[in-house]
Amino acid sequence: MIFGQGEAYGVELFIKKKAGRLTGWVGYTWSRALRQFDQLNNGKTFFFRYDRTHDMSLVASYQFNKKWSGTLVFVYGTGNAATLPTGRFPYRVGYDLTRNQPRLTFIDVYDKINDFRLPAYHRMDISFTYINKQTEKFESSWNFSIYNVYSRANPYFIYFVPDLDAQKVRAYMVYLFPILPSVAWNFKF
Amino acid sequence: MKRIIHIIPFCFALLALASCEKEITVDLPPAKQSLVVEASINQLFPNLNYVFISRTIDYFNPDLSLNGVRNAEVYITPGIINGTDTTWDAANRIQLFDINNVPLVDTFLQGFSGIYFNPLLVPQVGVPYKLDIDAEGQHITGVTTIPRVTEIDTVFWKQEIERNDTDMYVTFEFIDGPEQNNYRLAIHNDPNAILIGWGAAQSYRTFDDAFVNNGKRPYTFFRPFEYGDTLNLYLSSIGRKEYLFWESFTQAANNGGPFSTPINVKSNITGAIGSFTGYAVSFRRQVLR
Repeated sequence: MIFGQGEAYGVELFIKKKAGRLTGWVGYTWSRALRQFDQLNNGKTFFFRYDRTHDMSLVASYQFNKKWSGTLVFVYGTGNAATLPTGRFPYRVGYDLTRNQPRLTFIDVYDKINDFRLPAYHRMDISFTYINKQTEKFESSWNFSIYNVYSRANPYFIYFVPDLDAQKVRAYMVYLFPILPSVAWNFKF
Repeated sequence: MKRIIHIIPFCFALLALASCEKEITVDLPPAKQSLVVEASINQLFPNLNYVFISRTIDYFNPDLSLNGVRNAEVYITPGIINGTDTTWDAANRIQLFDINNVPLVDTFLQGFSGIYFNPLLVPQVGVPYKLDIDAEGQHITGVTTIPRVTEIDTVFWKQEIERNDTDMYVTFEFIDGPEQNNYRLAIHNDPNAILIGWGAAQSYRTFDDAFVNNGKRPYTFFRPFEYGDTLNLYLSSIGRKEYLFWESFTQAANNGGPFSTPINVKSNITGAIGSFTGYAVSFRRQVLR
């Protein structure tokens, strides 16, 4: 078990508009989350995995008329910090007599901890709400929304595949939730 | 409305079939190149006394070959223990030579580069050994000792003959001493018992006696072998630093997948990545019939 120190600091800004047809708010945070362990990263301070230096949210709603309203959401965040291998080496050398070929194991080498940033996370969502005729006993509305309007490929994780033909290692990013349209009917009684 | 009902399943199908993966370019500074040493000595098999010297290679543009380092000067010196001190017996220092330049060695890892060997090296149990390497302007050094040999006591197996099953469930036993012991087991399922390099074995285990100490200890293979297999067991006692290296090596070698934790091996040499391991080997060959 090893022990170290953690440090987190930052500033937040928040602006909100509550009156008029257009309402909404903007929030922005600048922060740092750092770690330092004598036994890790040659004792040097490194970013915590979930450090999110820039984080911004924007929410805007517009009331078109009594029936229709619309909402726009935009979020942005710095990508997660990740430790990626910088090198590899062959080890545990041997020769397979049955297959008549060398046998060895490649081991990855890691240099600095959390020195790589995954691509930033950002997306925009829009939605429109139509309110049906309301009565004392029953009211309902339709909601039409699109999640991730511009189908941003936000990283979930990345992985590597050796391409023996090209003599290189290829990096692939897996992302979740491309553009997702949805329709919902809400009711109260 | 009918048109919308037809469009919705189409949208879901489109989403389900859409790829959520793409190739990206990772822009990392090139890694600092380091020398890598795999040095092994043992008391039983002279062909497993060798030093392999290579280099780290850039991760995203690797030449997936052996990448051996040639023209290195490699020496192994036995030590003499006086109480708590060890002096190095320079008179009995042995130089290891590039395997391709060693006469009378035919198939042993010939054609590989960066492997150093000397058939005159005959390590002894209980003797410390010092490794000195001069390669590419760097000096690498390490120390290891071949511990006391822990013999494989018995090997037995179980076969469910009544079910006409060819699965052979194998257990072997060894006597673990009262001192703290560390083991490395190489399993070679092949009629040809000779290991051409430790990497020729099919599987490995690294374990110690932290939980079961001082007594007869069974070791069971949970995955069965086949009827007629020739099982070659190399049970080696190794030192604690060597154990920590091979344990970290095992973790690093099996460290795959997108959610894996980065692991660097715990070297027991200075000036390079790698290990100098003294193996006290106990060998047992068993045809499973």
